[in-house]
Amino acid sequence: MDERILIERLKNKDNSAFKEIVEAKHVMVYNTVLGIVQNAEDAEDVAQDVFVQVYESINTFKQESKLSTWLYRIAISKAMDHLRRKKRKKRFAFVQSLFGNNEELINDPPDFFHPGIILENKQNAAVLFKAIRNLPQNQHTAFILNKIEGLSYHEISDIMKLSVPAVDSLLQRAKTNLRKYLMNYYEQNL
Amino acid sequence: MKNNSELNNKLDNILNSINKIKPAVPSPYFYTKVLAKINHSKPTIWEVVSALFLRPTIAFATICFIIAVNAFVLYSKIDNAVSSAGQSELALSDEYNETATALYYLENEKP
Repeated sequence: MDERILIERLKNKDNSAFKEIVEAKHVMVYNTVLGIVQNAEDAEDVAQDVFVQVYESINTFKQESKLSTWLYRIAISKAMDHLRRKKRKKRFAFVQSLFGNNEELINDPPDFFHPGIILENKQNAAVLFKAIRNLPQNQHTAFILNKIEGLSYHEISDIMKLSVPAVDSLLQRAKTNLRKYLMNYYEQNL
Repeated sequence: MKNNSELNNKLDNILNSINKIKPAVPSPYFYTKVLAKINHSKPTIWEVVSALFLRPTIAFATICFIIAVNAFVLYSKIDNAVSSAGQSELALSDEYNETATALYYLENEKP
């Protein structure tokens, strides 16, 4: 069905249109969020929040971009907010533990095993996901959109509101940083 | 040298490990869970009002307004107090001056 008609129906609070959008896009949103937050339960929770926001703010969507572009933007923003909240909690728990108020510290997240990766690559991918966590926010987003979602530079530039050369540069820097991190990781662990 | 190329191969393998990734699937009843969240997330009027006043800009503006009103009331009271004290002093001196003048004129009045 034409995307414009679907959006108009949703603006008129047609629940069947909303159901169609959720059914069509939930895997895409879930995978984007999962790549960023690296935790299945958290990713599902954040992905649900993305659709709640879509339902509540569909009237602000001006249709200047595709629906999927808008969904990607909301998903990335929610996932990054989730990561920031988690980091803040961790810092707060650390400060509390210094004053003896909170004995249990929030530890570093365990290795993340993405369910869509074949068995022989699982260990390598877990190391890579650990390295991705250390990338700056923009590089992190661009890398996930390119590698996990398989989006082209042009599509990423639409989502991130950057030029194509800027996306190219972000991805190059992300790869260089990942290489550096992995090199250090292997020098320390082997 | 050999170690270096081995390490580079290892790093390439790691960087390419997510190349053929398949999409993960969320747990079933995703749509039902989203609907439950939408129904649960509708705020009451009090939640809307309190959220409005808890926004930093609104809270800061409200505090500034209250301080300004307090300062205005305080200064206007001090001004009133000063001016009313001054007026009573003036009235008193006028009264005595009038009396003195009147007495002078009375004493020097020609028969």
